[in-house]
Amino acid sequence: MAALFTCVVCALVGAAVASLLACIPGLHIYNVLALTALAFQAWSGGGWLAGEAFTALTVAMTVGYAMLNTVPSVFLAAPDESALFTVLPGQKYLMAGRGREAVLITAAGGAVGLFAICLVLAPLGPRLLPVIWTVLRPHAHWVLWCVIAFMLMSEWPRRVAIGVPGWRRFLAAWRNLGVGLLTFLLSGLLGFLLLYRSPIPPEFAFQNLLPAFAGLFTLPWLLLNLAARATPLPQRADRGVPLDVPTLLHGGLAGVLGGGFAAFIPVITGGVGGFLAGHATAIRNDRMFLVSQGAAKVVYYVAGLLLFFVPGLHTARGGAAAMLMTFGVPQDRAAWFLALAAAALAGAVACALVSPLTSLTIAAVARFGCRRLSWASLALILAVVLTATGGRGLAVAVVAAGIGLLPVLFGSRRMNCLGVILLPMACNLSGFGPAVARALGLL
Amino acid sequence: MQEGPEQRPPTAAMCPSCERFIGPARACPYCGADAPDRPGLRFLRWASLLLASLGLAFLYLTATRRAAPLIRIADITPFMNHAEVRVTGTVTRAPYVSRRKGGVDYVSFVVEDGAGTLRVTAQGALARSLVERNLLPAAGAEVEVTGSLSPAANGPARLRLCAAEQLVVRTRAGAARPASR
Repeated sequence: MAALFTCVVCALVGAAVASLLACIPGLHIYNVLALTALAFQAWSGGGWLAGEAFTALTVAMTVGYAMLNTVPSVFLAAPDESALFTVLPGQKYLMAGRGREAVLITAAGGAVGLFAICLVLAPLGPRLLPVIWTVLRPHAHWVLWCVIAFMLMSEWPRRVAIGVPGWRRFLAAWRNLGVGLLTFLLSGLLGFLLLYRSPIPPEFAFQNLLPAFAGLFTLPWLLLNLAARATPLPQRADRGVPLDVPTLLHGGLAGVLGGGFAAFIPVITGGVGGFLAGHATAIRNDRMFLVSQGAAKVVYYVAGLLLFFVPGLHTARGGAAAMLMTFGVPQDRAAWFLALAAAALAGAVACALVSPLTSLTIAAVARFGCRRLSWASLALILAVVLTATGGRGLAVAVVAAGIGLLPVLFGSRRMNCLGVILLPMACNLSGFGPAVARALGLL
Repeated sequence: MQEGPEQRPPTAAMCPSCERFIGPARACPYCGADAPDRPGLRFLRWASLLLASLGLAFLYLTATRRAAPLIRIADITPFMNHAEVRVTGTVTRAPYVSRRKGGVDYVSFVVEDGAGTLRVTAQGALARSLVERNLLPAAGAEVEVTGSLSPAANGPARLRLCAAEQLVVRTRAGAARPASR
């Protein structure tokens, strides 16, 4: 009974702490979990890491982060111009003084995602998923190549040089397309390097990709905030969210499909899943898009982690599951129900914290300004990378930041940076990853 | 950012003509006006290109000119998952070879370095190649293996080989006589 009580406390505290940390721009939950694991390793010698309480803590922190990480991306992001039309309608809301509304709509989508996990995944997962995975596994490689092809081919020329004929027009149109392809290729090469000849010291190897992700996605965002001298925009104080049921259901379904696809198919991330589902289910308006992104994000992170505990399946998707796998946490039926309970409890805490933490962030941005918060976040991220992966990890993060800045500054999709995992893993799943690594001189 | 009436102060990321958000774009995608000159962003553009290409090249040179670190098996921790490491030791018994549909699909052998044991594995084409080229070490052989580490919570850690060159047999104890299934 005492053990169960410890698990409940861990779930509640983990959800509250992760919800708060999710409001810090650029701080990813996998980085926090890595540092937590290192701290517990130092404290208990690793024994506590294989226990049920750590399972509850990990699941709860993942839920809290997935529900609340929209807050900094809405109030402190500096998007590129293509984002205005494609992936971040939250920015449009922010500019119209409706940032709070965007966060609440996205959180409503997240709640739909949690209900889908508790009401659909929980009863059906153990029966269906092992069978589906057995059928799908031999096909994962070509599914991945199709996703990559769709991702690259769905880019379009942002800058149309009207009235300019010939090569100049052609080059202007290909500018952002070319940068997109270059970004995918460079990040793919970085991925091969990290996978086959990582400069990260062995004792930090479980966080091999942390500096690359921090560099590709977090640092460019913060650097652009600093360079663009973004000033805070006044926000409305409205508390209500005009959200009708059809929008919630349509957006929620699209998000659950996208997030579920991303959680189940190896290497696909929540953003890519949401992007595919948005195309597949014809999402047109911003409200629906925000709901779908919220649902996709929660399903991707939480269901992806829960797949590790699904009886008969036990696949590790995402950084948290990979970490739990190495610590040897229990994977029996009790652990499956414990993980579900932790997810539900943490979901309740996170839902309750969305509104107050949004107000807190709005107040913090008003008090300190985007630039100061971005400087503080930059220092924090660099400290996390240094602590978790050492000086070499910092070097990797700096190089990755160079690659991550390309799409932001040249007007391409940031999603192309996912080449860091998509390219090497697609090659590996297809069986020719080592051959490519050998051709690159890495073996 | 104060909660109150809607006001939009112009920022460097907004069009000077129509005052819409244009991010780092050089021309406004809405009205076509040229964006204000932003030396910080221009510097970032060139810096990103330089960092991306030069940095990747230096990382590549560092990685390819450095041997994987040599570790003791007893020093392996769960935090070393996916680490590229080198281990030297003695093969404790004949390699295990698994065949499927008539061909070799998996091989493994156990290495002991005096402080612990480690299972070395290879799959697919690499496993076939090791068997066909008779590269598998016999029991008692001294080997040096390099590969990707997978620490296991219950039982010995695993080291996955990615290429035949990563297995170096220093002293052969006898002809390789794999234990087949």
